[in-house]
Amino acid sequence: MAVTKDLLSGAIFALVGLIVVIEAQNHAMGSLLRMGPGYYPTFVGVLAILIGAALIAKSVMQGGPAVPRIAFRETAILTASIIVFAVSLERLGLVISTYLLIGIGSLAARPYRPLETLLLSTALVIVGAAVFWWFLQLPIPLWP
Amino acid sequence: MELLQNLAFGFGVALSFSNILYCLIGVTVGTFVGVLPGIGPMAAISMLLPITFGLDPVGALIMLAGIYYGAQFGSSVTSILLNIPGHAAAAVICLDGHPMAKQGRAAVGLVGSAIASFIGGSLAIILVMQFAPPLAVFALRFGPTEYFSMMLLALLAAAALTQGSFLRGFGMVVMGLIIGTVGIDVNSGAQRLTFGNWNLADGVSFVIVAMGFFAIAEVLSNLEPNSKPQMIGSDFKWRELVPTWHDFKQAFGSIIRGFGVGSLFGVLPGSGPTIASFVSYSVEKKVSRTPERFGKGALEGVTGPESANNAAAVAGFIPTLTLGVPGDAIMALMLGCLMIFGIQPGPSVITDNPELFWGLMASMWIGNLLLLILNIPMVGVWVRVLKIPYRILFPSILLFICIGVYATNNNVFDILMLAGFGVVGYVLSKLDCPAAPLLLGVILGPLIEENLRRALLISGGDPSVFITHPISLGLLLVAAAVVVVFSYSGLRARSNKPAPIASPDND
Repeated sequence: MAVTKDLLSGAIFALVGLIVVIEAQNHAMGSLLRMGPGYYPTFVGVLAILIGAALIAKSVMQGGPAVPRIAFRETAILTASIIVFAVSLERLGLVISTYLLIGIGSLAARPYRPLETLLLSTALVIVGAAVFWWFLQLPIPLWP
Repeated sequence: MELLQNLAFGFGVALSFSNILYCLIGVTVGTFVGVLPGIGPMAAISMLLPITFGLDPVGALIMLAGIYYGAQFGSSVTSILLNIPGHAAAAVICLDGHPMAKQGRAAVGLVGSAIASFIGGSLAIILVMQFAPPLAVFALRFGPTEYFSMMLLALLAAAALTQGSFLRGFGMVVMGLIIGTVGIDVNSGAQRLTFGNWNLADGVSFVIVAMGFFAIAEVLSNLEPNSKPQMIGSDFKWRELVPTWHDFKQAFGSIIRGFGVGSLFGVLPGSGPTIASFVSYSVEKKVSRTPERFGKGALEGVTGPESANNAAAVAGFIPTLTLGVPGDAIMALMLGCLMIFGIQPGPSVITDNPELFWGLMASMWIGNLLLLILNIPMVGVWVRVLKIPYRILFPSILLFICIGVYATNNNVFDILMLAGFGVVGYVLSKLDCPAAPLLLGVILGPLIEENLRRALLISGGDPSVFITHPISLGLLLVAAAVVVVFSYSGLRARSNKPAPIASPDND
């Protein structure tokens, strides 16, 4: 059986719904008159499971378009660059973390041009510092 | 005459030096971003949102509105000249706009599109001014029951009217509602779905969701090895061709019809400019005595949808400002911005913050006029912007989004969540799951739960209250009708046409 768009999205919806329903059982349910904090999440989670099940059933019975190729390499590089930026921003400051973000993130584009990336990062450091540090006065350190 | 007084008051607010400046910046930046390949109005607004944090609420909203219609105009420019729509609504403009450009009538198309936008938008502003205040008075009678049904209508319509199947759209709405439940429950203090992480106690900000699902996901789609966000079009030749009286006569009816279609879909929660422009195109084709001209450079095929698009964008402020129920994802974003500035949208916004409402209305006029007089001579500049390579563009977008997300709360955990939402958003977009209904769910989720709880508390736990209150019943019937009509009509198939940039699925 091919993995169709309906099948995968249905599975994601149902899984998320299941997690929500399980987590909601830690909270009081209450009644329709006085809903506890667990009532609405349980309802919404069950709804997600039902929609997911319907999509899976539709895929099994009718088939449908297959899941297209997903750009894993680019996704991984971009995610890594954002995580590095998040971890370094408050510790190493805006300047170094911008270089890291652009340096790693640019690897996702082909061809990779080191000199161009360096110039671009430098320009963006200046713009970023001017807009966010100087103009908007965000509490970000510039340097470590 | 009260209207004229209010209008004068509004112009007094909008014509202050700083507000004109914000409007000008918004329109210019919006057009710039709208012309850039691979960035739609949605990504543009969420990316530029943090820049408005330093302004007062009126100035911020004026600037955001400017960015919004500037970005829409920018998309029209590239649609006509280069056949590249910046977002879904502009895909319609390509159908007849680009053939016009090929015939050397680009100037007529551009001027026509700008004028149609201006007239459609202006008429819609009058409509908003006329009907928003009485609607707000009417909405004061809304109790939690009516609000619940109203929001349900918005969510169901959003699921039914976007691309892809209704089931997937509805699933995305529910995912949004789930994200909306994260954090401390206001009634009981229980920490829901936080898994012991204190960073989640205040809930997930819609700004992070919007930037992840729209901006980061868009960047990822454009970085796919086989996608070509960078389409350097042929150099257009600026053959001066002043539109003739005949052109105007031809276009006039379509502009008025477009305004009608646009205001209808703008007011209906859950729909918006994209649907309006597609419907307007098919209306123009139906009423035309020469339907065979469509697709080959018919001016009405540009002016009708353009007018509908802008009218819907403006009319969308009616439910957003008076009821606090946004029409589409962009309005949802505007609503969220108002909340950040401490303004609770709802029936009392017009009376409590008159300078905001009337100032915004007047500034939209000024902004549309600025678009008209500034941008037509600058078309050549905008076309050159298109040639910025994507490998330079996307790192810049990346930096702005990351710092922007950090700026909303000064919390690095938000940047980590951004990465997560970006990846999930990208994968879901590959599965044809639309992001707009999800965002609407995130913003309306807490409100819908609160109103559901209150409605049932008042009714003594009797759920039949939603169909025994007449207004609520009416809203639910409209919701049912929208789902049935739009899930099973040919409209969906048409609005499904992939725009090369807006939904870069090249499979």
